[in-house]
Amino acid sequence: MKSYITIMLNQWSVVLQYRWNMVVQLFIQCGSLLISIMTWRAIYANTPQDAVGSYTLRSMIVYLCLTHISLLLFSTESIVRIGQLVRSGKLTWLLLRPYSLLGEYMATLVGQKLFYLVVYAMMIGLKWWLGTSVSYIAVLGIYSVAIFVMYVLLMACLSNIGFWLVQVWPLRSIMNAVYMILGGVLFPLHMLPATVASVLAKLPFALVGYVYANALQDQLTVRQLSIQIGYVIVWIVLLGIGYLVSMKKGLKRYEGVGM
Amino acid sequence: MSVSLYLALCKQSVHTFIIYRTTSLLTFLMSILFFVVELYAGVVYFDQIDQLYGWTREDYLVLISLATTVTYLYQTFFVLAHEHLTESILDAQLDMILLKPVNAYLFYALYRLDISSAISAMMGLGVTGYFLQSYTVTVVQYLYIGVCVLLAVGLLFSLNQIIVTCSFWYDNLTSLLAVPEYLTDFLSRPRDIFPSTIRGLFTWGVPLLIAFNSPVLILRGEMSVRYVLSLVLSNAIFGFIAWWLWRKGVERYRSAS
Repeated sequence: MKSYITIMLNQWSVVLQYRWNMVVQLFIQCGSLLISIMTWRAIYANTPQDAVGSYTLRSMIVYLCLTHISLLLFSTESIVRIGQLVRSGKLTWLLLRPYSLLGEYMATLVGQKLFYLVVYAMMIGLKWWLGTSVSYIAVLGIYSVAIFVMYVLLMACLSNIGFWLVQVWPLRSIMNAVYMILGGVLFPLHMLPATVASVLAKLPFALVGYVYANALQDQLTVRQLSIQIGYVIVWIVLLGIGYLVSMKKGLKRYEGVGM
Repeated sequence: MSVSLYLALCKQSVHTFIIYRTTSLLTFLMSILFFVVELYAGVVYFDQIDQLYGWTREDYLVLISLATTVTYLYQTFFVLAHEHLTESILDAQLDMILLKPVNAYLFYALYRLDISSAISAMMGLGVTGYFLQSYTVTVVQYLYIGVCVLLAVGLLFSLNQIIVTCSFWYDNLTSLLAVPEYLTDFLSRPRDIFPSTIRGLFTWGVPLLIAFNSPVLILRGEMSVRYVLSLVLSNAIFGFIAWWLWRKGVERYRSAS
């Protein structure tokens, strides 16, 4: 356990050293958020209605802010991790170490995203201070932890595709695009046809983006949020199995290149 | 940098593509997904409205398809080369090429083609052609659009080249490398949604906005020669800056071998 904490703190200090990277990323997300807001403002300006898809312009802007912040915490750049480790041969070093690869990955992510984890904790704390019921805050807290675990497993599982691909550069931007639609970042998912929306809303991306933003906007009841936790747990189990299977198959294929 | 050398590099690219065909196929399929996502978002937007500041849904979809095609064309000719150059600079492995009797700038810029992006680009052109069916396009307009597409690719090349060359000075700014990609994403929208300052900056400063909007502006008869001049001038200026930065970077370069 101690080694994981060391890894986490180490990663946090790396983030501080490369803080300009984080600043640039924040800047880029702000840009992306502004573009989304401008696009939707244009859409609202060109329609006679006040509400589009049951959102007023104001609540749409809040929704867009929340989904864009979620992109910072639940970012997709770590999907290239295994691919890079395989190509450089550094995977061998990690495999030889006396701790689990998944544990190391989780510790790394917690360290890298510590800043955003604190921001989210503060957001939830702010909601409690502003008067949201304790039961809702408790369920929201459990949901937040659960989706973080699910997200780690999702990225770890998807990242294992790096055992089979030589060049992983397209994965990052493709994952971003997939996240933008399936996570409800480009538009709230209920603007899609009802059947499609109800299926997509159960996928991990939506649970992390669209549903979480709705939860933070108080658009869900305690009961609805509890049901969402159920979906998250199902995904944790599925992705856990997927990770183990893909890791086993990937390692068989791995040849320790570069060592 | 002779034609025969470039053809040899092209041949290597084709060989790489065939050897790693699974990777290439996956890359291609995934880029298509990205394209579909953007198009579908446009469809969802226009489910809510009839027109966006005078632009119809077809206008918007043509904008998206051609902007994505421009990105694919840049990726075809330059993305692998730029990735390779970034790695070479950061690992200080430029000696091999700097010592050879070849123009190192051109060599690194044209190092590798990405065949799967080429296929995506052809597909992008096909989709654009499909959307263009609802317009009557003259031959002159096609040529005009073709010129603007080439100028857009050139601009993307120069911008990426400039950022990659910054690796000679800064080794911890890896986020910066993604900036042109994000700018492309942000600016492939109808220009009317942007406030006038941003519109001005990206029309006369770094004319990416006008580069992506130009095909639809041409179709709507709203294209002005000033915009073309802006594109041509920016290609010249940023192209020069990219080359000049390269020379400065090489002067500063210390080998690791």
